[in-house]
Amino acid sequence: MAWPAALGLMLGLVCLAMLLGLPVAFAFFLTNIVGAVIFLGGENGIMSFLRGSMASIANFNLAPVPLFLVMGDILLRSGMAIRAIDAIDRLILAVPGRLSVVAVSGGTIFSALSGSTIATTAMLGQSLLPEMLRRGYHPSMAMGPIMAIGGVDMLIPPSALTVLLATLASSVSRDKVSVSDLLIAGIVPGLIMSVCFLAWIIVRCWMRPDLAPRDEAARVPLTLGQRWRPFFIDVVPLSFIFIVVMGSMFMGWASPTDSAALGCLATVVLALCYRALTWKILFDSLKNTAVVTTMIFFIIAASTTFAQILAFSGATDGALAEIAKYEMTPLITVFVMIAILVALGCFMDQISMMLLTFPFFMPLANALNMDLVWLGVILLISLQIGLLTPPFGLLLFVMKGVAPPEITMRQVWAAAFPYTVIVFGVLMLVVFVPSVATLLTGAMR
Amino acid sequence: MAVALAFFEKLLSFFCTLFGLVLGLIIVLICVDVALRDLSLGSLPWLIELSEYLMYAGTFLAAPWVLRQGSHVRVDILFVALPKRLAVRLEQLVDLLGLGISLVLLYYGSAVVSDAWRTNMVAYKTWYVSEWLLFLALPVSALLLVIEFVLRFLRVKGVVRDTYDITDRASI
Repeated sequence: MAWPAALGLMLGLVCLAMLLGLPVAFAFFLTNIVGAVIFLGGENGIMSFLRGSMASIANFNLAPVPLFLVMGDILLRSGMAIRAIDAIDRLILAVPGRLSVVAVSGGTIFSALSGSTIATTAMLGQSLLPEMLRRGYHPSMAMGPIMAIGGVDMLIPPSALTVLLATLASSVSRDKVSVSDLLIAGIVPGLIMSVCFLAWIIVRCWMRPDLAPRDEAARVPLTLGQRWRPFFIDVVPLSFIFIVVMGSMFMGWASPTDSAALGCLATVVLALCYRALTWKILFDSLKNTAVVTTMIFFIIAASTTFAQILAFSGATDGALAEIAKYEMTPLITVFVMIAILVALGCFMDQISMMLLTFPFFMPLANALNMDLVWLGVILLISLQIGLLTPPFGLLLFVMKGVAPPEITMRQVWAAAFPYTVIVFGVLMLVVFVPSVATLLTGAMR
Repeated sequence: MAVALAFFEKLLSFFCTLFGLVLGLIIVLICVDVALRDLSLGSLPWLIELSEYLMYAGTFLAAPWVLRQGSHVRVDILFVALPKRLAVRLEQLVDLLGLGISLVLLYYGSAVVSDAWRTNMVAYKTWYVSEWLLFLALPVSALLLVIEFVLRFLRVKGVVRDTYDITDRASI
């Protein structure tokens, strides 16, 4: 079979199966079974695919994924995250758009403790949005910051998605993508994004105070102790978790898996100190993590042979040779990758996007000798943009789900738009100034 | 029949709970390993191998429960756009496709296990483990998926809700 037909068959079948609503894992199983029959020699090919599926998830490098998810889940269920948000709320009183600022700053801190984008958005949406709307915040000022900060969670470690990106990219790349390097590389772009969000909110509310009316809470005078005490009790100790996870990795004392396990231990110890942990919370967190982990790992197991079949059928080499004819510079290639991910992100989840595109992206990046950590950060931000772009960006729907019924989808899109532009601006910064992403990893070495 | 269905649901839930507890065990063991290494008291050399096998088996055995919960991530453009009557039919089509895929996995998964049994294949890293034992999770999972897809097909009206709650979407 000619490579365009092979490529069309594999990509077409998996996309059609997904579009029909078949769970992503089963769409990949179906495509790989068909691909194995045609390209890998029938029954033996299917059996080889099934053996390979075990090897793909029996991989210790993936262990940080569930461990980061456990940390976020415990923080959420134990109420520690909400208490931290309340404490930040007390600190920021006179700032224009106070609750929006609380959403971004609290969300940034929670991003540094949780591995889950959806958890951050849902938590902030449920806790802050009703209060913002009640106090007369314009829907765009109420919802936009919450959705935007959910995306930052992907960049600021610990991030389960970063671990997945590094692991999946390494599986199809000549050179390995270091998990710890990529985790650390996301910090600076993530913080720049948060600062840009804050600046946008403050300037916008300063220019148009009607977007976020000054609320009663800001008018009640609080003593210095009343304002700072909750911060030192409910926020500062949480930095212990971040220090344990990132400090141990940054200093080179622990592997990403070790630091993730130590982060879980630190979270449990802190929750016990706050008397916020019960057996039920621990049990529920572990069971919920098992569900999410299964969802992720099952897709990886199902898709394991996808890249191999593409390579074996000649589709990968054929497509890469075709691309090579255009003699694209690394920069143009990166822009093409960004465009593909942003377009796919409108209707697809991030794991599927990575699995479909990385078999082509990574060999291309290898051929052009790109810095894979830099590229990894660019791909992460591109995936993040996909969360915020209509019509099917996931965070838009999470927000619609937690927002009051009178909020329309159009309002949700409009609220996300300025933040999407900011995220795109930071993406361009990383593309043109690679040291933004590689500064910390360079320092680590 | 009701007893059998209740047992089946309990079994699926049990496997998922077990995977959750296994993840907790892995966390504890990694922390112990780090402590042993830092105190120069040795290490747990089998930890990586054990964790890898448990993550693989746990994923496959918990997958049917995740299917039952509707937590396998999927693109839901059509389900949202279609009227409920058509969404029900589409859901049934999806269940039939899932059933077919699971039957293939069951057949060839069993073949992989029997092949490993017949040839006495052994995996060796720090332990000698018979490969058929490692692959066993595959056909067991596939069998449970087959049953669950049949049940989903039969109770499709309960699966397709009146109000499609999109926040229930599975994702990270």
